[in-house]
Amino acid sequence: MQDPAHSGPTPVTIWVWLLVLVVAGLVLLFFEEMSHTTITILLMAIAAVKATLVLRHYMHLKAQPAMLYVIAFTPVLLAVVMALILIPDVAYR
Amino acid sequence: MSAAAASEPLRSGVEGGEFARMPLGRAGMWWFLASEVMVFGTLIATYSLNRVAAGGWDAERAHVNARIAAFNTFVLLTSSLTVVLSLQAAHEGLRARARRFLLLTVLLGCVFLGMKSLEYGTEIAHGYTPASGPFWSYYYLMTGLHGLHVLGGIVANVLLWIGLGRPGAERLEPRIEFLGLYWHFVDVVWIFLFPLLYLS
Repeated sequence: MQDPAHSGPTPVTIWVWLLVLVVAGLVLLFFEEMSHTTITILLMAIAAVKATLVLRHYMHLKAQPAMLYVIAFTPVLLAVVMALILIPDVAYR
Repeated sequence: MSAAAASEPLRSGVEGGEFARMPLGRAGMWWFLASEVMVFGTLIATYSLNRVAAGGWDAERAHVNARIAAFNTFVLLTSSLTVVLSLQAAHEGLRARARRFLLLTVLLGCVFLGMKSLEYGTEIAHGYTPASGPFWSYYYLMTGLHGLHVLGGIVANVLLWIGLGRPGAERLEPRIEFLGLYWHFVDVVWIFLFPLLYLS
């Protein structure tokens, strides 16, 4: 969570950046010459940046002990592993 | 867990690193959120794989209402800001202000659910139900599960708001942080659901 004594961008500044990124994602949809795959990758990259902003500045993850990163990101890793395991199932359907 | 226990260190009176000195409530909330990551991570991973395997589901996706979803994104991001401002106010000893921001968070959560209900109503009226195909099954499952999390957050926020209005409420103030972590997580899940289900 945002610590009041924390130096850096204010919560309102982070909120403005989040809104700018939402608009950037919506603007991408107007680039019709771009391939669907490229747009999807860019949209997910923008989502990852937004999630990072919330995690770092609102949930204050950057000021937490390293063990918390292990707790928070191990399930992400497991989900990725699960997706990789399922790829052959999808490919040979 | 009592409010006093929630703000106690994870392992009091023992040697340990920064993690061991973390308030029990915060550590518990992060453990809970880790299990939630597993739930939503699995759903997102299987949705993505099935969508690729099925050729994109572009025809189905064209029928979801991206305008309402974009508005809801704005609402949820704003509610994350109000949670942070509530915690700031609590740290500054401004409990009335903290409660006002909590109430605003609740109202924004209600707006989100209201708009989501409107969206569901329109889609169901057009014949798109969870039984209409794999895309719609995933769509209703993921957005419905997320909506239930928003509803849970609203109920918890209301209870906290009531509790903060009673005498001796300072012992409840750490819960603004713990509940805030949960609310931000719900926001992060939506940040990924929005492009996956509505835009890409």
